[in-house]
Amino acid sequence: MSRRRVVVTGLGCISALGPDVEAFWRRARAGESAIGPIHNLDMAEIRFQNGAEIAGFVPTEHFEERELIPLDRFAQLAVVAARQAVAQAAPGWTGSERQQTAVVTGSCYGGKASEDEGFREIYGSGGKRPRIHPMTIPRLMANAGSSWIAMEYGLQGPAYTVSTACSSANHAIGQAYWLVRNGVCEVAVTGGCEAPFTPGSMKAWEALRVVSGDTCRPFSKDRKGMVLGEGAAMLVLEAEERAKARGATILGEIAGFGMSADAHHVTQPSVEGPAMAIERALADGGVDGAAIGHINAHGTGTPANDPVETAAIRRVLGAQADKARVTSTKSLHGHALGAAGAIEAVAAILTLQRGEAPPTANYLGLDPECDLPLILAPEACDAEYALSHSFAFGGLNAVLLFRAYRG
Amino acid sequence: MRIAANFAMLEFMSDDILQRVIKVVAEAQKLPIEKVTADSTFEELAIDSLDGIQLLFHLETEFDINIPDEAARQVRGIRELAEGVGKLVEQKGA
Repeated sequence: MSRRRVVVTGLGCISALGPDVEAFWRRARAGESAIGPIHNLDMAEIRFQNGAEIAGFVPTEHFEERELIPLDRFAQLAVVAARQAVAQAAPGWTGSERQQTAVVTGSCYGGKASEDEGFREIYGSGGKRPRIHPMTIPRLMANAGSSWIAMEYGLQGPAYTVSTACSSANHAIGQAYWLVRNGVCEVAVTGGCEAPFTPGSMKAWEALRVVSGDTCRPFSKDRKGMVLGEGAAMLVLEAEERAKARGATILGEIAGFGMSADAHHVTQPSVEGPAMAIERALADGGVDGAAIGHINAHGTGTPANDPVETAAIRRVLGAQADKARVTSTKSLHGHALGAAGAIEAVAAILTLQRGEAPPTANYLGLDPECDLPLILAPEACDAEYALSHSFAFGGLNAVLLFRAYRG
Repeated sequence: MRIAANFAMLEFMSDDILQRVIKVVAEAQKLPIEKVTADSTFEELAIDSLDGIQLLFHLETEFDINIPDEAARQVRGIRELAEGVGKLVEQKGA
């Protein structure tokens, strides 16, 4: 029995690069980094100052005031991205299809801003009657993105949230891909959402000493670490035959998915774990490494990740590692943690569909341990297959394989 | 290595600071204090990068200082660590 193919018919994205997919792509393809000073928080007591914030996001332009009461920023972003993706796909759900459609999202730590704010009221109450907003729990739960997307469209199929730190969205998209491929459902809405800019979490990242004091310089000499970002991206996935039967515009195809665990160290990456995830994504898609023409790398810009990722790519792709063109769009939209894989999926799908690849920004020169064929200026891309990597703290790896859809 | 060289300016390290650093390291790493000496390297004490970050956290508390990421990245052993801490304590007092 031939396996069902799974195509992408809708994309949504709100990130530091812009409020929608076209704005995202205009800046991404030009290699314009959205990293800059963080404005929405008092950063006076924080050792780093830069992030990738969404500029000009006004929640009341998207939601009624009353609707916003139970919605943390990360869930607002999820719904906004899902609306864009569903509007583009126009999936034409029947009632029974709505009952079957899956919603699978990724989030690293859910509604952290709401939690942080509530806890500050309690711990700082100074003996006064400590109280916390009654919507704190619904706001902070990491599955809020999935729940509100399901409610928005009355989708009653498998709906859940994956939380695997920086790999959350890739794990989520991979799960949704398999649900559609295996015939559990015909349509899925999937992606990731994150809004990490809160005082408490900035202090926590500062203490871990992995955030760059300047900017994000993936695979570059003198790179100093990652830069946090916020955002959400959502994809509408659909069984190919359904999309074709209704004459949908097909934007791309998901062709494989692979996962692994390092089982090694909580923050130090290994070569073996990521290499296994890449191998498994290729095997899942029945594709040889020699077919890979483009890679959207995990590429955090930390001293530890980038050489390890380089070695993993070399181990799996062999000679093709000197040919597959590599970018890390985290240099453009920051590291959006549980949304990162989804934002990068949008970039990879558009790269294959539109035949142009977004460069890695902020590069200062060669680090011999990161000697991949990096995309450093806007360039054409004629690749058929692209990999998109996510390798999380805790050693949990998820790799998606995308294919340009050519019918 | 420039920063490490600065750290090597011995006038910044008093014996008191060295002993307090050794105590913090031994307590944080759950090591007998006699195992930790001025000449111990992180490698000998099996202190990895994540342990190192936790040491910096405890040292910042102990000495009420702020240890910059860049300076911290260069340090490989107890003597260098105590010298770096001594310099920051000196700067704080200045």
